[in-house]
Amino acid sequence: MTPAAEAAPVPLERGILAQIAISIVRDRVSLFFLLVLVAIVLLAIFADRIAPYDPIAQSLLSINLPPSVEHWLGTDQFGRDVLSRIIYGARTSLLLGVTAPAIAAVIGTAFGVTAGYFGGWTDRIISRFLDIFLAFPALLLGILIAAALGAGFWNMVVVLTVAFAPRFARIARASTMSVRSEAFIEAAIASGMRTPAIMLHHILPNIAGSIVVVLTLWIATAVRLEATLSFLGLGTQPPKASWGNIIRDGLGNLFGSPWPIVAAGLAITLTVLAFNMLGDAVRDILDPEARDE
Amino acid sequence: MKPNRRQFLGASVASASALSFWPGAHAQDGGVMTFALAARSPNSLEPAFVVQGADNWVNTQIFDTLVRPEDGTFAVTPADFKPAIAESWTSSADGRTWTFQLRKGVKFHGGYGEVTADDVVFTFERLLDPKKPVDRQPLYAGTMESITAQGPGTVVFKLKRPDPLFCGTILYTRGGCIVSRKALAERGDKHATNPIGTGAYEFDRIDPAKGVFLKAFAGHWEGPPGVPELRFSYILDTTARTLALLAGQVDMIEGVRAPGWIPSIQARKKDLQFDMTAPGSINTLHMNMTRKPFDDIRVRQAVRYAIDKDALSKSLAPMGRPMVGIMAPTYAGAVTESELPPELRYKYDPDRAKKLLAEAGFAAGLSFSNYMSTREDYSSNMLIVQEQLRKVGMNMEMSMIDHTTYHLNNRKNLNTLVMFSSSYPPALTQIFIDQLAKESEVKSDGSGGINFSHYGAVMPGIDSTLAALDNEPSFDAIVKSVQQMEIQVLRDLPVISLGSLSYVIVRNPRIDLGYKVRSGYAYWPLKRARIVKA
Repeated sequence: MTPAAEAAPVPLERGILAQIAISIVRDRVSLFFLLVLVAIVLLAIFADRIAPYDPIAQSLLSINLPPSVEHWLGTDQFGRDVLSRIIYGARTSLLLGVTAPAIAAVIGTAFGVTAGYFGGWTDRIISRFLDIFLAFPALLLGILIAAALGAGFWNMVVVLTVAFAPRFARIARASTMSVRSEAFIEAAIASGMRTPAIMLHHILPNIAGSIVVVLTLWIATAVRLEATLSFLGLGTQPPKASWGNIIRDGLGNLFGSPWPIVAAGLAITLTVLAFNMLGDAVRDILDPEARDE
Repeated sequence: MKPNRRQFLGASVASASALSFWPGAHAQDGGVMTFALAARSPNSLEPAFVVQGADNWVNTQIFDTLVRPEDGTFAVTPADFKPAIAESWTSSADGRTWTFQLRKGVKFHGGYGEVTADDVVFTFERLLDPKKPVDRQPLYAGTMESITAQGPGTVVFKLKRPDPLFCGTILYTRGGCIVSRKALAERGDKHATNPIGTGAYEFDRIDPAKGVFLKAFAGHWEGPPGVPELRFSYILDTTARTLALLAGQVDMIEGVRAPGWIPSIQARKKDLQFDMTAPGSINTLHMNMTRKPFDDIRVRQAVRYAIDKDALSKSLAPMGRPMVGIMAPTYAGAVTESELPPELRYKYDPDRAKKLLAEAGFAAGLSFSNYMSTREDYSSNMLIVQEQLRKVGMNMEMSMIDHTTYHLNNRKNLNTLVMFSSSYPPALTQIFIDQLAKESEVKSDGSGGINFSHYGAVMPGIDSTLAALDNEPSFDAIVKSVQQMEIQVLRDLPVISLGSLSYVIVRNPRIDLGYKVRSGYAYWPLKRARIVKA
């Protein structure tokens, strides 16, 4: 460790992850949603082993069946097993829901820290760019980019990354500005520590908490946007299953066979709820003011 | 409450909004019949210049044609046409001169007087004006040479080529709706939003929120219609439209052509009535022969053997019907399976498809990308085709795009397997000219037609047979040639028919239509309809 690093106290407590884990386990609601999330993640990872049927195999002679022993959630308008499609849909939704916000967090944080740390013209230029992107709601921006790039999984990752990165940048910038004025940063600068090292060792650890909270919230939003874009035909392409696709395909038969829509709607709701609740719990731990409420 | 939890609530409500859609309620009036169309708003009530199919429903009630088929049918042969504004007619032996005697006392709405031969001449001459955006103008301009009035009650049509089905190809069409020269002169462009016709219902008003209102025309030559007032409302969203019908807010709706839709809505309300045309739309699948490997006949045959037409039709029951060639089975000229040599019957055979693919060098399967429309009748057909092709090792990577873009892309030769859905009158050669003639070949700049397979351009097609028919006045001789073309197309396989799909209207049983819908265009007269239960 360099002398400069030793000189600067890092206020972030050791074992913060352990603290988070303990708090979540102690809070029954949070624990419940953690278990839900773990279950959904396991479903997504082991979809090919858990799903009872091939999610794209059609059976035109058994369409729109109600739930039964063979098909727990019934079949859709092409005779595909709804349960299998929901399980595979979890894979699509989560893969996108985690990938896009994670990339957006990295890119957004880089811009935000740069703007917040240097201030002045650097900040003004970056901030104006962020303002342009932030002027569009994430969904509208998503639809615009998806329409320009075309549909497909990786295009959707690009869409959501572009839509989310400015939001991370905003948070990172504000947090960086407040950390930047702390005495230990002045000390680090005075001791001759190089700027990238200060950003990496002193700024990032101190703003990571807020970024993580925002990340969980945007994962939930990404899951929802994936469903929305797929519903509009701009997201996951058939026959691949995604929760949005399942809703779109089921809409025509909403009256006779609502199972696909109800199941996919519940899956989306539960996942979004779980991420939001855990995000809240993490924030409560990292933000003593909110915890004291 | 913390802000992110509130956001969450907003998010979930948005996700569930598909379930919570409900149109504004209004009471059903005893003397009004309401019909919900699958469109955003009325576009043009000028019958010759219609760009949106839903408007035809309104126009059909406002206008009459010179002749017409029996209600609920298509006229398949020349003898099937009935008098309407024309009382009687004759045609010359060469099929090129048609003379019509007009019925006396047919009145226009709004005091515009009786229909004269001059109005008829005006109606048809404007179809030939290249400056006017007339739908299917090439058909009108390619058929009619001149229209002349002989006195107030007689009109003579001279044709460029013989047409034994002139009554169907030209007269009983949207362009053939008789308009008033005087009303058009007075109203100009405003005629499209305030039309004058001779039909059983006259235009009353357009209400931007409630739709188009028509009222019974007491002076109609057949007597006034059975319902005092007709309202057309515009509900594009299929769920909302269905809900409006189930809630009794509207009496009739345009149906949804997706697998299982009819049984599912029947389960909700047992006494609903379904009016269906047969054949309805003819769904064809064009294989783009300028794209490899679809230039190889073995690959096209593999596609044909891989598609289970019967299963496809059954999934769309009762709207879907299997077809053999591309002519609707009920039309003159269609071939039946028993008339075909065994090798052209193409019984569903996935193993044969795999063998053909292997012979063509694709033992390990093949992949290609394809555009598909999100409209339900298109997407449901193509998702089934995609799965059936997957079973024989053909992987269709699909890009779903909106319906308008889909057609624009197809017209620019950007697609590989092109599904096309269109309803045709029993006009014999029309579908061949539209979809298979060299002159209709699709072009990359979008200026071409809808021959998406490039049949006749990349390989010899049916063009010589079509050319020979240009001077053929005999109905029977044309029918024979159409059968030959059917067989040739089955042999060359530029296009496969996926089946026909009925156009369907769902009707509240309180309305009696007055006749049974069997075939015809995707719109029909409501003048015989009555409200039987309040």
